[in-house]
Amino acid sequence: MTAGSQSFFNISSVLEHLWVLVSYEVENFAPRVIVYSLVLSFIVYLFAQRSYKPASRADKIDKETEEELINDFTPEPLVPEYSDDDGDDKTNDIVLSSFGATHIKIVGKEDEVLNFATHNFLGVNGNKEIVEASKKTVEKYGVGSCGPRGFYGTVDVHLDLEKKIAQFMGTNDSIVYSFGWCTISSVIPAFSKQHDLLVCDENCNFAIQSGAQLSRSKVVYFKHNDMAHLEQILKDTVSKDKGRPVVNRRFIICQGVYENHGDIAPLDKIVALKNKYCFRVMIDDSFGIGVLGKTGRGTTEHFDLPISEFDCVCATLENAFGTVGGFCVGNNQVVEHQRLGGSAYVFSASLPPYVSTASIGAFEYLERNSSKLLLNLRNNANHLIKLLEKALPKSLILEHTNGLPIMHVRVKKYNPNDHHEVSEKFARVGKMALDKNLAVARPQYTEREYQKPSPSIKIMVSAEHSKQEVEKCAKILDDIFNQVFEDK
Amino acid sequence: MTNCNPSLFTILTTYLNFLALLIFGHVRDFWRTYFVADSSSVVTPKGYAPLLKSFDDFYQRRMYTRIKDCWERPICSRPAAWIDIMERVSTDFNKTFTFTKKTIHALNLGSYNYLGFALNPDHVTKEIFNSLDQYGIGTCSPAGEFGYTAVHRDLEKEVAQFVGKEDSVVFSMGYATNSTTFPCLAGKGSLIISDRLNHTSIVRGARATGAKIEVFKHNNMKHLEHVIRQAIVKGQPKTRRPWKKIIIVVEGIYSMEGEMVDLKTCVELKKKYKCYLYVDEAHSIGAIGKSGKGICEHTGVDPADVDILMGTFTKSFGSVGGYVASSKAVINHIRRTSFSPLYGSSMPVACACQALNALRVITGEDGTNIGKERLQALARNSEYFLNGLRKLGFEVIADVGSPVIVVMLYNPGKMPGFSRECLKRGVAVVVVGAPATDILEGRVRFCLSANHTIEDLELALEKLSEVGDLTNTKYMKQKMLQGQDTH
Repeated sequence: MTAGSQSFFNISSVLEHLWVLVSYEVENFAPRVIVYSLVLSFIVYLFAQRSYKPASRADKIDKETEEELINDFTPEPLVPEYSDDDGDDKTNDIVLSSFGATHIKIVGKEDEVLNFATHNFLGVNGNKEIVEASKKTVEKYGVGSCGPRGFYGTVDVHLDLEKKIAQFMGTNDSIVYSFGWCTISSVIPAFSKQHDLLVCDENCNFAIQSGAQLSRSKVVYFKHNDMAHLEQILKDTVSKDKGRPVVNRRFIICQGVYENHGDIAPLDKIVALKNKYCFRVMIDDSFGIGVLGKTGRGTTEHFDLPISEFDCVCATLENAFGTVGGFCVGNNQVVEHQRLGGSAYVFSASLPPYVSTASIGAFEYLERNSSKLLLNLRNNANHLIKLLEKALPKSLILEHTNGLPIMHVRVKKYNPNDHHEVSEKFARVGKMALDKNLAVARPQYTEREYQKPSPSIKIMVSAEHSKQEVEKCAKILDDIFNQVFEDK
Repeated sequence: MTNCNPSLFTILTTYLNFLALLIFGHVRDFWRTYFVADSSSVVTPKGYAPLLKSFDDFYQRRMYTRIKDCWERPICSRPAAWIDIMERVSTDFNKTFTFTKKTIHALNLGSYNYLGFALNPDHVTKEIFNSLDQYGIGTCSPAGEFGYTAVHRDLEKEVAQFVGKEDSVVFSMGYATNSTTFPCLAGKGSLIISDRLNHTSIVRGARATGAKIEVFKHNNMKHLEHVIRQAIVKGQPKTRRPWKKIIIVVEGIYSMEGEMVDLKTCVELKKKYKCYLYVDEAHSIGAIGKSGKGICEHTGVDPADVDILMGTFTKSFGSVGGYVASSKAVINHIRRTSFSPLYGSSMPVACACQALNALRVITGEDGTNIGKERLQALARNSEYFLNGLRKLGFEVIADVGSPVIVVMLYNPGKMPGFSRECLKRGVAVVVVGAPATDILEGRVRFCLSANHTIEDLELALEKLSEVGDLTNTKYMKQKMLQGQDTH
């Protein structure tokens, strides 16, 4: 076809040109012209059709019925009603008026209360030096950072904190979130999406379950710390591949220390399995960091495993480090990706600058005093465990691990039908302990948990507790437990 | 879609720009895969799928990283009216940065500091120090266990009073307020009708409920009514049973648009169709309304007509965290069942103290006029800046009175240009583009503060005008000159 470009702006010569073209085609390629015309007519016919809207139920309903349906609509109340004495799940009436490493003061009580109820394992929270450093930061930067990390909410102390954490954990970089709970629940959906597989321990905390649900990946739970069951699941997954290349991402998710049961995950066995079956591992070490390991670097150090074996290690700063927020460490790619992909990082205000300073102070405090603090912590924990185990009534069990400062007292043979009665008994224990100026925690759980833990009393020891305080706690608790849970 | 009107030329050039970026990105990926042996690229071990899949990774490597210097600019001062940005340079095309140890003193139009509490009055700072001495840094316990202090209790009481509700509950993080509260309010069999441009925390919270989610066109009350009617008439998707409850979720001020919700109509609709209404006042509490009481005061709506008022302390109170205010029954339920009070650490006490004292300053309870002055300064600044930008010929999206003002840039190439040129002239701005906004709607968003003086804003307008001319982003002026209809 020749290009008759000069005739473009001349309508009649364009038409003439077209006629020459068409007549040439018709003369020489008649069948082709017929096919083209048919196709063109069909296209014109399709365009001429009205758009098709499938008849919906609403379309078939007349106005009167519509109004009737709308008038008949009776919504449930926004929230369910609670009777006044909903025993076990009663909202906490405890209001603190001051907080120290080993003692707290409660509004309405004159005396100080011995504190075995909070997560300040290293007693860092009230450390005077750290408080003074935080005050200086408040003077310089104010309290809030007034923006997310992307929009001028990144303050130099945040970068210092990230460097400190990376140095402490032995990685190149780390990323800091402003709330511990949101850390793991943002990290999981950042890497795992639809069609990916998450194999989680059935006793994982709710933040992990929440992250797993948000990720829309397939979630499979393995029996708590049961390596045989885990291996079975991994084997089944790999066998379904039938030698084809792996297209979806597969993660094993567990915690370092399970705070709901006071036990430790066998990370060495999990790492061996993940290497064997080509899975990735993400762990939430919120209760292991600052507590386990020779220098307090957490469960990974406890098992002498290099940090590079784990794709992601997340933890909060709200326990042993006594501040607020959470962090995640991993290789450069893992950390960089979260700066755009970590929902709670991108869409939320950054950590208050003074909290960053306090966290750095907490890390340095731990580094300087790790042997003394960790020794005290473990000795206190073991002492309390020994005393409690000896005198608990037969119907109760102390869920614990030697050396771990977090333990639960639970009913040995728990029947979900007795839930209300059991919770009420534990509520009484908590109240009686408080009357004797001892604080122990009564954890509450949401109904949405995959495996809602049974009611318990949670006892947490700090490195700052003295031997006498530990003994006092054990004595008070033993008396109360024996009173409330009389051996029948 | 935001309420904007790009010309055909703008639309075409924006799409072409994205196309060019995509093509360049793919060409460079291809080159790197086959021709460059680079030790820095990540190797996926044998037997594993790559950790990061194509588009997530592609976007970050080939599009975001090119202009990464426009975001996460670190500062080394308080985020008040003027900030010191740490100057950084990159020798590897923004993969890594090194600091030059110099700082850029810039006018801050990016931080959420509406009432200027990044600069506390002295008596507030004193209270913060007292609370640090009394309570330490973190509470190391959830609010449902031993993390609830007298400061939290007072804050909850005063917040409830301020917004006009019976009771309130506070959370340590604004994002977590939404994402952990929604699951308490709705479950399977309920319907959540959410504005299309609602914040990510609302979307996450809604997804976590298990309820069905419907979306209505941004701020379009007619479409909202249509969606509600259709929902009630059709019922639940497969079973056709009536919905257990319907919750409408809107925001007071939409943070990427600067627009306010038509709350009066929303309330009429919710009453007519027996729905529940949840208003997220993250950006509007403290920032609008004569006494800073937010969208209800601004639009003349009785707070009792809104079922749940949620807000954050990050923006107008200079703190962190959020709150949910409602009737006693609803708050009681949230305290027992929301994930934050059950599992997460309660709000750090010094931050609760900051929020409480900032609130007292705003209401004048501290005995000073500082609150009143700051509210007036913010309103004056918002009006002045909005008018100034409109006069200059920018395409401005914002409702009158909103301290969040958005200027449309559209083109992804103009975003970094605008941001960098502003920084050169000592003005710190925030540019936002896809995927945080629609693909065509790159924009620059200004957040005003009570700390700004009129002189600061005059200077800002002068510099912005220069940059606007340089980047050719005075779209309204262009339209006027071309003789088209203006807003």
